[in-house]
Formats: sequence, C-alpha cells, structure tokens
Amino acid sequence: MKRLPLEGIRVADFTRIQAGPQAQAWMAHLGAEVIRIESHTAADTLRQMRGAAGEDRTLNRAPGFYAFSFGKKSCNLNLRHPRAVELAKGIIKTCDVVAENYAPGAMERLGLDYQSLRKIKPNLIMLSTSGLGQTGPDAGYAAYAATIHALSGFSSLTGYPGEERPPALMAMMWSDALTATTGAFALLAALHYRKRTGQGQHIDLSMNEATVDFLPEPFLDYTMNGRVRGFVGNRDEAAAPHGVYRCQGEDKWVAIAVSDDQEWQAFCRATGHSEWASDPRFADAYSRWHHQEELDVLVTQWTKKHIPQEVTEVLQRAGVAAAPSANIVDFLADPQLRARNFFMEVEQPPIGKGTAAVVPWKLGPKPDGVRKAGPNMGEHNHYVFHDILGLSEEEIEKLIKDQVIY
Amino acid sequence: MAKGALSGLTVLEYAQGIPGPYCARMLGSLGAEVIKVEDPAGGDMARTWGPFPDHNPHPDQSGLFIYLNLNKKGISLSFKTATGRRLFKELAQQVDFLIESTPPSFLPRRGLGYTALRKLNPQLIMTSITPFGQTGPYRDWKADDLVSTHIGGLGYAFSGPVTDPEAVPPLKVGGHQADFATAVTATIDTLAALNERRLSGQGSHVDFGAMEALAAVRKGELAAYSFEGTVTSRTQTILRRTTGLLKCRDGFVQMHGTTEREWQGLVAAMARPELLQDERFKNENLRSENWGVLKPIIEEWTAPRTKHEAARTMQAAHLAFAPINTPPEVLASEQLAARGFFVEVNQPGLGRLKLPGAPFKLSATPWQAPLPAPTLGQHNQEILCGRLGLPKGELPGLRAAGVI
Repeated sequence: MKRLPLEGIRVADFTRIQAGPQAQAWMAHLGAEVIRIESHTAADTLRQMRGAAGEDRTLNRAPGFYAFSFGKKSCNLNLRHPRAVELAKGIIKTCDVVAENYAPGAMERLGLDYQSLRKIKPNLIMLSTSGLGQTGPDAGYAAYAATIHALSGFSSLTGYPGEERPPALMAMMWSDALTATTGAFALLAALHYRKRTGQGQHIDLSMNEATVDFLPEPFLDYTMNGRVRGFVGNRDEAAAPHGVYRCQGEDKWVAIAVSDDQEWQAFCRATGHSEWASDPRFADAYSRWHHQEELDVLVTQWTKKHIPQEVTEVLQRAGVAAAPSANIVDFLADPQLRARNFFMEVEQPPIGKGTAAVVPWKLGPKPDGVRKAGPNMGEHNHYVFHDILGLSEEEIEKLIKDQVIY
Repeated sequence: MAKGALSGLTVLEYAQGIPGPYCARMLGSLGAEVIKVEDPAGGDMARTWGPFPDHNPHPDQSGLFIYLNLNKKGISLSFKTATGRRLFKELAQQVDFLIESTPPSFLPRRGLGYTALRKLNPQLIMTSITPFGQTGPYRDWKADDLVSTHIGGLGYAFSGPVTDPEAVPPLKVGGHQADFATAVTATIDTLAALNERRLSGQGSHVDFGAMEALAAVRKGELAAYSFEGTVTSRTQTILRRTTGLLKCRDGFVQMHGTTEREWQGLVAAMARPELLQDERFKNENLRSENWGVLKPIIEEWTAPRTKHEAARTMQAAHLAFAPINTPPEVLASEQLAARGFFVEVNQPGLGRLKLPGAPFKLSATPWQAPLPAPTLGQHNQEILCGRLGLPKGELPGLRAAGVI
C-alpha cells in the first residue's frame, strides 16, 4: 500500500488567485485532502481566465486554474450568509489546517479568524497569506504580485543594464510563487510541531517579506557600503562571458556562464576559437569582465550559427554551464523533464485531456505526488455537506435554493 | 532561545553556494540544529562572493555567506582523506537530515552515497539538490543561477512584455532568485519526507533538481499551452493589461488593474470625472485595448507627484499602486519596522549587521533570533569531540594530516 506523506491531513482552503492556492497545491500533491471553499459571488480570478470568461458560466474551463488545483476538492459557500459561516465552521472542526488569503481583517469580520476558530478547534493550524502581513500601518495595502515586486525593491533590481530605463515589467507573478512555496514550508513545519506537541498555531505570511528574503545582497550592500544596486540583467558581478546569446531560430537564445579561467580555456577549445584564448583582453576573469561588451559580440557571432541545443551540447561536453532559455513550448518536449516523469497526462473534465506538471522532486521508490484532475466548481458539495457534515438531501436542496451553498 | 517548530531535529549539510545552504538555513531558522561541513581548503565558495564591508574580500565577512549560514555550526572535513570520510559517516549516523548539493556522482564515488549511508542510518533523510536531478540526460550538466533561471523557463517571463523580442534577450531577475526558489522548494519535500518517515519508519533519498522546481512555477501557463494551445510570447503578459509603470517626479509607480470599482476610484482620485463618459474606457476590456491612450492620461496626474505621494493617494482609495522602491527605501519602511522584519546579528569581526528576517510569523514557535555564521572549522572541537567523542588531543593531528 503506497502512502503519500500527508495522507490523513485535511485542509479547509479559502484561498484565491495564486499565492494561496499554489501553497495548497503542494499540500494536495503530498496527499492532504484540500477542500476549496469557494463561491459564485466572488469566483477565483483564475477560474475566470481565458476560456472560462464569457460563454461558460460554470467557471470550469480555465487550465491555469486547474494547474494549481489538481487533486483538490471544491464546495460552495456564500459567506455573506450567516448560515454559510456556520457550515464553514462545521467543516473547519474536521480539518487540521485552514488556509486563507483575504485582505487582513476580512476573516475576523466573518468570525473566522484564528482566535475564534481555535475555540472550536484548539489544535488548528491556520495560514494567513497577505501582501504586507496581518499587522502594521499598511496591512490594508492593496497588493498584487506587480505591486509587491515594486514595493519590495525587486523591480528596482530587475532590468537591462546600460542607459537609464525603467525596470522590466514582469509577465508573471513571481512573488506569488515564492510566497506560496514559503507558506507550504511553514505549514509542514507547523504540522510537524503539532504532531510532536499537540499544539496548533497561526502563521502570518507576508508576500512582501518573503520577497525581500530572496534579496539579501542588495540590502547588505547598502548597509555595508551605502551602495544602491541597480540592474545587471544577465550579467555576473565578476565572471564573463555570462549572458544570454542569440541563436538560430525565432526568438531563440542560449544562456552561457563561464565561471573561471579553466572553463574559459575549455570554452575557446570547444567553440574552435583558440585565438580568443590568447587574446590579452580576455586573458583572465578580471580582463574578460572589463571587456565583456566586446566579448559578447564575439560569442554571439558563434552562437548565431547554431540552435540553442547545439550550443548547449558542445559547451556542457566541455564542462561549461550552458542551457537553452526555455519557453513553455520547450518544456513539453524537454528530454530531461520527460525522463524524470515531471508531467502527468490528465483527463480534466470538462476541458479534456492535457499534460500538466506534478511535483519537482522524487522520493526514491515512494509515490511523490498525487496525479489526478482538479475540481469543478462545487463538485464535492455532496461529499462535504452530506458525508462530512451529515446534512440530509432535503437540507442541502434548501441551502442551494437559498443561495447559502452557492 | 525559544522553542522552534523543528527543535530536536539535526541537519548535516555538505553544500556550497545558495540552494543547499539556504535550504538548511530555513530548517535551522525553525530550530533544527545544523552542522555545516566545509572543505578545509577554502570552504564554501559563497565565502568569496560579495558584498563585503568596504568592498574588502574576506572569507568570514561575505554578507551573502553570513545570511545563508546563520544559526549553523561549522566544521571542516576533507573528503580527500579516509579519516575525513569516516568522520562524516559517523556524523551521518547521528542526524535526521543530510542536505547536499554535490554533482550526482561525487558522494557515491567516495563511498558516501545514499546507498552507503542508509546502511548506517536507515532513518536518514538525504536531500540532494542539483541543477538537474540525479537522473536523466542532463544529470551531469552544470548550471549557475543564470543558467537555471533560463532553462527553468523564467527568462521569458521576466523580460515581458517587450515590444521587440529580437532586440532584447530573455532576462534574469535581480539577485539569485532561481537559487533561492530552489532552496525553499527543497524544504517542502524534505519536510514531507519527515512526515513520510513517521508513517513508514524509513528514511528516504529526496532527489531534487532546480530545473523542475522552476519549471513548476510556470505550471499555469504550461497547462494553458497543453490544453488550449495558448502560448504567452514575450510581447504578451499573463497579468491584466492595465498593469504598468507610470512616470513620477522621482521615479516610477507601479499600477495594477482597472476593474470597474478601481476605475471609478481612479477617476475620482485624479478628479477627472469626464473620463467616465469616454467611450474608449467604457469597460475593462476597452481600457486594456486603449492602454496606450489611457496610460499618458494617468501620467498627467502622476508626473508632477513623487512616487510615494502617488502611491499613498491611490492606496487611500484602495487602488493597487506601489512605488518602485530601492533597497534603502525598503529599509526605511514603517510597515516593515512595525513588524520587526529586519533583524540584527552580531557577527564577530564585523559587528552588528542588519538583515532581512522571518518571511512569516509563527504564533507558537517563533523564527529563531539570528546567531552568527560560523568561521571555517569554528566548531570542530564542539562537534568532533563533543558529539563524536574524539579526545581533544587528536585535533592537532587531524589538522596536520589535512583532515580538518
């Protein structure tokens, strides 16, 4: 009998968008029973993405939503209704973990804050994720990934070096992703502590603080030296060549990082440019770094003649770090990800079959992650309200009619 | 010291750079005891990475090394010597976790692979953090933060949206984001393995690759591509299109989104009620389509103001505006001060150093106060004599033989 690490753990999941749901995606993959508590009154933005908007009002068409929901369950509760709040409490009583990412104060207004919930479930672990934390003068700050990137200093460090220009806009929700991962770590540690002591606790997780934690160098450089760092792009502080170079093909690029003189010699041999190895401008790391503009022009002349995979093969064989700059399309065909069983083929009703990522690790011969479809809106209403809470069919019928279960 | 969530657990670390050491440091910050093993010849390469005080390189004063190695004990052991390897095995017998980041064939070649260590300690959880994992065609490839960022698919996301993708390459973000994300993701499966050990009574080998950790971050777009064929190119964004940087007197302010409620608030805050009647901005889709027209209109309001002023005014109206802060501005944040986020460590030879602190507040088991990072071999006596029971008189001999 193969068991997953978190089997037997149940989570009441009130989270939306990404920072919250992605943390619970880790939990679900590890075998926890994650029950999303969601409502048509304020459907998750991710459910409304792309295909979901417009014609299909069931909110069950967005692959981007399912990517963070595989293996979860879904029930509907309209928390504006006091009866729904009572039902939520009933669910929570059977849970080990509550996760939420409402604006700070919202759970308290519903009577679903940690202090209230621990009265009905004393060993509860509750994870509250917010932009700037549950306390402090700016706890109410309207925060999304883009605003957290700005606020944390992250944007001021991200862009192309050279002339004065604005930071690069980031087309993804990086701070959501790193916050989710940090949150899952905190939850697992709290679960371990509860197993040992019987004691639960509240976790106040701030996206802004989790983001700053990933940026120690610029803060230390300022406190140590008064230096305000800006953009370095793909460059390194000391090594060269170190960059992303144009290859054959539309918008195709390869990342190359030469870290020391030995690798530089190997690089010149592998590319067939022994004349670079003897060029005094590139004689050692210090000289190369100071001549990196010229060096990059030469490197590009070579990379442009090849596709990224060719450059990578040649350089990795010579012991130099290099790899294609991959986009989503490249992932699905990637031999490494395929060989490591990184994907699952999943039948996701109602949208059909597709390929999705599971977990980025292997636990030896043991199962490393749940591989099943995500929930449609309210798909598990019967399971939650009948099987868990013991309501009769008639009661459930009425609650649906009254838009409590909605 | 207050009790931590992971107090009572012991971690052995044989790792350098960022991913392995930061993974172990996260466990240490929640109370696990961490023993860091370094090679006596120079130790962890992060000791050579800046920033250094007054830009003066010193192996015990790298700000980054200190941050990555707070709350650890440090010993030096040379794996080139049989005695060094034997002492490492003895330590591995006593611990719950081994966090290592050597190339996949490095430890097995020295008789220190998982198969060998499991025989000595069946309960051991060994987490191997490498760029590509222990198996597959790329397993022996090298990567640093730049290469991991790009093969992990973040380069395309971080440069967009751009107007001309031919002119600018996919971009790495500031700092070492790929390495830090790898480290924290590895803490999840490491703790999951601990839970699994409680169920089965057996340890496990966690095989962890940075490429997968980063590719997993883009799983939403991966699913969109696989199920619908949607590809987000670098000229597009998955964010709402009315997300942008607006020019201010002293820099930029980031704005995010114009839902109906946000749009009305924005128009009111700018005192431009006539915009509500403008056909080009009637709904969010139109505002997105006409962002090129709308953005300069909002900039008429932001341009004469400072970024902080602009953000304050708009936040008061519950709009997602934030200044593009520099690190010193973040250090001066009242919000972070009110939450006691930045902490100080008293690092010998350096004095008090201000550092980013806990990413979350645990109500029952607080993040541990920072203890200084170890100098190379600082705790040799405490660990080798105290823990393994070597007589103190052996230390000079071990040193002379190049073991420590």
